[in-house]
Amino acid sequence: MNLKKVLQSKECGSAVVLVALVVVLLSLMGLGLLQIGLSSRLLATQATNKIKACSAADAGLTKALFEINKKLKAKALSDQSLPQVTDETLPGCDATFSYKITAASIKAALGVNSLTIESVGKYGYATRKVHALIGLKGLFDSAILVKDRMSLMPNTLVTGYNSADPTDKDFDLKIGTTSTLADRIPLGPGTVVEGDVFVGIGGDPQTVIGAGGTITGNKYALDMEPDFPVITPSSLLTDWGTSLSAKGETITINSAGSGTYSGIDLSKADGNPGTLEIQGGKVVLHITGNIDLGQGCELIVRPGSSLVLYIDGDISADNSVGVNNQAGNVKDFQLYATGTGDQVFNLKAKSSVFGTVYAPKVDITLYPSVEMRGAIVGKSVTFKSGGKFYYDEALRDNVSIDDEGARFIVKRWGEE
Amino acid sequence: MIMARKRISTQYGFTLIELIIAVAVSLVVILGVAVSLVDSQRSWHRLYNRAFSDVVTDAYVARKTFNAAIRKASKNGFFIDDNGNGIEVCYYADDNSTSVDRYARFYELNGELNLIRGKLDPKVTLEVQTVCGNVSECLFTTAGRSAQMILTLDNGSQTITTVSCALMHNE
Repeated sequence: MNLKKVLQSKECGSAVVLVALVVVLLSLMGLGLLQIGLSSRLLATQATNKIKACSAADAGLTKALFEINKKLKAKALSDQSLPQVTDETLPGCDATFSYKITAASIKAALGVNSLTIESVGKYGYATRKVHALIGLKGLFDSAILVKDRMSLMPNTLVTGYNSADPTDKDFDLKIGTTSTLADRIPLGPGTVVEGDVFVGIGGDPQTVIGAGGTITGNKYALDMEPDFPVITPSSLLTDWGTSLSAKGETITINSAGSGTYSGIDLSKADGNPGTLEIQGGKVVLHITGNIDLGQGCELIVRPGSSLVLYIDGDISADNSVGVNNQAGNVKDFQLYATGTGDQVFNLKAKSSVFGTVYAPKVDITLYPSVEMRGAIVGKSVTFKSGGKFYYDEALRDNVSIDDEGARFIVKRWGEE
Repeated sequence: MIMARKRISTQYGFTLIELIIAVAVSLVVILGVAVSLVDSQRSWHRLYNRAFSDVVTDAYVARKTFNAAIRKASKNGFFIDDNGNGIEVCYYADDNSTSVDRYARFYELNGELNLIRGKLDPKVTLEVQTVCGNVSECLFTTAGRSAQMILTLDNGSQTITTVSCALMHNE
């Protein structure tokens, strides 16, 4: 009864104040927690959005490069057809990207190296912009590139020159393998490589490269796998349904004779060698079978002419035969392996060999009597009989959009 | 006597039992409130640290700095220390540079992540910057044309490990 009276009394108590104070304190702390949670969530969201926008911008640049290379391969590149997209959605994500490739003129741009890609990625309010200057890369960045073994006989000299600039004496060449197995580049005694020698990713240059010979540059392991673009002959070539055969005679092919043939067979008859003569512009041949060069026979590319040879089969050569690129311009004789099975090339020359060989799945054996000028990509390369190998730096530095296997790569990159 | 008892019993006051019960109840309430307050304060502090402590902001800054430097680096010519505690990359100073003319080197020393920027040919240091402190572990690795930084920061009360990976885009 007394307690009831006390509770009902009009006297001021402190409990209500205390409870109110506690409630206020707890509320403030709760609000603080919410505020911090909200702030950290906002920061995290912003950071995530920026990362997504950045990824979208990168993807846009990669896609732009892919699209322009697709057009380049299809020979459909023109000032009016430069790839461009706006707000394309990044697959698996709500981010979008837009890209634009700009050049005053394709041909002019390649001359001054000013073809640019600008890519913008967006996600929410986050925007990221990247830009790149792109340029052409050919098939022959290395003097000799193999996937397996490169065998240089004793006293071989590997050096360079620049057909586009004869005054250039500061050669920058490299040879190498993508293999990491031991002794893939055995250098014979007296062999000199005036440049760098590289081995496959993770390989030990000391074990992959033989101890013999002299290397004036560096030995190192690749940090990135080189790409080996697949080369396919044009589907527009005329299929002649026959082989090119010359037995003790000379047959001449000009640009009108370009097309697909089942083989090339040159053989000696009545003491006369068979000769295939390329004369009259650019001749493109796709050989679906083998090339057999009998004793003393020759494949001659006359000055002012050029031969682009795609072959699905093997090349075999007897004694004293060869490819004779008379003008001495390495781009006048281009050989590409396009077969799906195993192929073997035996290349010989009565004198020097001028040309390029791109056959990343082929075992290649070279027998130049004097020297070879150009570049080689093969599965394995055996350089018989010593001699000299001259790498033409113009193959790397002067790539044009008409070159086989040319593709755009990023030369300079930046972001805002 | 009876009158006196009646007078006494009508006086206001609490019995000992009532006081004990009241004090006990008050103690329980105060204890509960105190525990709740302390717990809230700890949660607040923990959340604040998780969001804004020095190691968190340092890790964020280190990640951003590393990414920005690596992304614009040249894929030809980067070096990693044998123990993985440092990485050096080269890059173009600006769009007008005709060749790779700058370098950036990240390395960990005495619990700090440092960044040196400088010129190449001849190699001249232009700037030394401490990106962050409280570094307990820092490891750099590369694969192909990408570089990775695994950074562990520890300020004594909080440990955070951040992993950054970026691609070198330049030739």
